[in-house]
Formats: sequence, C-alpha cells, structure tokens
Amino acid sequence: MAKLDVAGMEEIISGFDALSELPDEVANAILTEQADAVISEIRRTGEAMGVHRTGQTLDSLKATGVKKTKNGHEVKVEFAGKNRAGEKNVTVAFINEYGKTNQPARPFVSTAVEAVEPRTMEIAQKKVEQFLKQKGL
Amino acid sequence: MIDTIIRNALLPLVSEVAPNRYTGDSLEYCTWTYSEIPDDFADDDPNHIRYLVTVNWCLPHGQNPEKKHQIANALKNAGLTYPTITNASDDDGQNYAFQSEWAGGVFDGEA
Repeated sequence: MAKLDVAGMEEIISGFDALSELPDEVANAILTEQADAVISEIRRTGEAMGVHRTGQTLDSLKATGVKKTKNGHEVKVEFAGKNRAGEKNVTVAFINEYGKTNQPARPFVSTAVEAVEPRTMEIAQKKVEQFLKQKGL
Repeated sequence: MIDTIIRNALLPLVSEVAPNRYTGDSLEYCTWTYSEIPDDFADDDPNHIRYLVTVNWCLPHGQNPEKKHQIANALKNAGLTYPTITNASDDDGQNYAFQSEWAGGVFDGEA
C-alpha cells in the first residue's frame, strides 16, 4: 500500500500553534508600528495633494491605543478634535477626500492606505518572524 | 487612455463631464481625479500602474439621484472595479463620490 510522508509537518503545525498564541506585546508592537506607517503615509499624501492650508487637519492625525477585541487586537487612526475655527478635523478631512460642489475631491486617505498596505504587511511579517525565531521555529 | 475610458463611460449618462475640475455652468456634472500607484516591479521599473479613481457626480438638491447605480455600472462595464459610492452631499448640493480602480500598462496614462 502506498504511503505518503510529508517531512516538516510537525514544525509547521507548531508554528501555527505559536502564531495562535501571539502574545499581546507582539500584537501591540505590530499594530503600533503599522499605525505609525499609515499616519506617515496619509500626511505625505495629503501634503502632496495640497491638503494643507494651516496644517491643522494633517496635524490632527492620531492613533488610538491598541485595544483587545473579541477578534484579536485593533488600533484606529483618526482625525481627532477640532480646528481653530471650531470645525471637526474629521469633517474637513472628509470634504477634502470626497470633494464638494466647486471643490474637487482629493482622495488623500484612500490613496495613502492603498500605497502603504505593502509596508504594513512587511511590518507584520518581520515581527512575526522575530517572534517565531525566539520560539526556535 | 484612462481619461478617455472614464469620459466615454460617463457621457451617455451625464452630458457635462471634465477631468480634475468642472468650470462650466451646468448644475449637474461629473468630474474625476486619479492617483497612479506603480506595481509589478522588475529591475526597479513597474510593469503596471494601478489607477485609484474618484468620480464625483454633482447635482442640485431636489433632483432625483436615480442614475447613481447606472453610473456605477457604467464604470464597471468600462473595465474599472465596481465603485464604492459615498454620499458627500452638503448644503451646496448633492455630491456622490464613486471610488474605483483600474490597472493599465506603464504607458497607458494620457492627457
């Protein structure tokens, strides 16, 4: 009777088990660095697209702390607070992103998110690889 | 090429269209902008460009936005991805932002 043996399966299974137990500090480090990368890219793209008159909108970009959720961990990047004219920075960002009558759209957020996605994947991959190496995998 | 594709997709539905900024007098018009993201690199050169397109359909308050999904389908039928539609209307009028993607060869962007 034919028999199929696959070498290395036990190591792979151990690796997946280790990943499922990714410690909070590793998840936090990944998400924090990813959020920083996203913020940098949104700022850069916003500047390039002219979303800068006083600088208040782009300066209002902030990352929340990492929170544990039922699905894992999350961090949010947001335009926080109000500008000196009393308008919510997120409203100003929205109008820039989607435009309005007589004001063309400047989709700086969606463009930045698309552009930074490979960088965020690299961040996660590098930190997971470091973690698995520490586990001897 | 991408400008022509978008223009040809929109014109049957909206008679006034212009890239980047509309400077005409009509209260109903479409305008669009796009970003170009290089992809599929080989020897440090991209083989493709991803176009992240935003089409804005502006019309006055009180006019029925019944063409919204026809515009979305027109963009899809022209080869773009089916768009995300965001209602960005304000006191000045209705404004629907259609965000979509198209991929082309490196020299497909044009005036």
